[in-house]
Amino acid sequence: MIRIGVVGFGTVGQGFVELLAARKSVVEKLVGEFRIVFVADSKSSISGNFSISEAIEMKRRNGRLRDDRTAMELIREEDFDVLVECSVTKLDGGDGLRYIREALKKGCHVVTSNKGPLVAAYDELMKLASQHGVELMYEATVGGATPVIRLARKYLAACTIERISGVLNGTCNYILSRMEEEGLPYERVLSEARELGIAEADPSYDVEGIDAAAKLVILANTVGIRARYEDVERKGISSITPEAFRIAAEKGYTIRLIAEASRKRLIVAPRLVRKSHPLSLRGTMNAVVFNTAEAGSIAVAGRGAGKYETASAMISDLVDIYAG
Amino acid sequence: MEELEGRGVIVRSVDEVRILAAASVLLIGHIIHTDLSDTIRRIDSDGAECVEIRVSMPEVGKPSTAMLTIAARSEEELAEAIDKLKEVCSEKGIEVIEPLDEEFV
Repeated sequence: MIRIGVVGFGTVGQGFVELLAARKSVVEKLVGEFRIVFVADSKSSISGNFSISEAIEMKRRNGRLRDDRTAMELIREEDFDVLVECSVTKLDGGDGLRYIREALKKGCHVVTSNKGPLVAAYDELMKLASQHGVELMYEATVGGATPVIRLARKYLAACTIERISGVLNGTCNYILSRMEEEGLPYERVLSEARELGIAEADPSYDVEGIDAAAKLVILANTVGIRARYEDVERKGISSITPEAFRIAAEKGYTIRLIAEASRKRLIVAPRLVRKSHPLSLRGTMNAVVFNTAEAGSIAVAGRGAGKYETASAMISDLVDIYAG
Repeated sequence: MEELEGRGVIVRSVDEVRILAAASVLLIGHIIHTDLSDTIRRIDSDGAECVEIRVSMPEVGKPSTAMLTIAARSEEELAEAIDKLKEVCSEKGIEVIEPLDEEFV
């Protein structure tokens, strides 16, 4: 029996437990029986005898769970095999970093959707996991449902990855592709994206390239390019004009926010992209191109965010740990 | 060749390939009011030059957009010219949008 502890019970945490329950028979065929032994959010928790539907209902109705034990107390005191860590991203690692460290030291596997701990302490966490003979899995941190990390770590393991370029932020891609299609100014499309819930009330984390830079750091470290957040040259999309799209189109280009990593350069910036290129995407899609020495260029694209998209990536990590 | 030189003709170069690399770069900002000809003059050199420019000025006082095509004798000289352009544009508060380095192959 695999015992799972869940920390972080917002959209992503709830999506994970809901999808895991919905796909229980399929997942159990692959990994064996499992049970969720505790769930914690930033203020409350539930452990012992409880059902997932009960926990979700409690959280929706009361905004909190049944007990007052903290996530850290549960990680230290409960017996479990895998920590599913879905706390909110803080670039300094935040509480998520402390939870992951604690679980790894205890000899538990970790599956996380939280970029912060990996941006702040990638090497340290991977070393800690290796020292304790456990896995730290983070497919959901980059590209949402798109299997970017597994592609790099597993399927391209024999290749020398010389460069990675990607569209890693769906909000920016939505804004830029709408500006291109409708000839509208940035501010107007941003306000439309806010109304649709695609952009946050404070969109700076997305539109200034901070989110894409954090993902680039994770991706670069995954393929052996040592990268820190402060090494990333970063420019946002707010100065792009409708005229820029028009003039770029005359030469067969569009403009997209591209995150690019090589041994020479780590950069997130608007770039001219050929309309025939796989990174010339529309809407909230994400895509990554790996340029390899041995196998040429390999591209993967898909939905970069969303409750069940992220959950599906986390469940694929769980399956990978137990079923390879 | 020897005959030409024997007649006093100075042969400067033979079979020289003048252009081997080219890239288009987009500029956004107050491109005209910050002296576009100065911007171009500063990137032109023996090995690279601006060979095409397309400018759009939508409204007075609003940022303009220009697509510059730079051609060079080698990839290295092209990269140097683009670096120089970025330096000049940084001084002038103009945003430079570079192309992705290569096509998807």
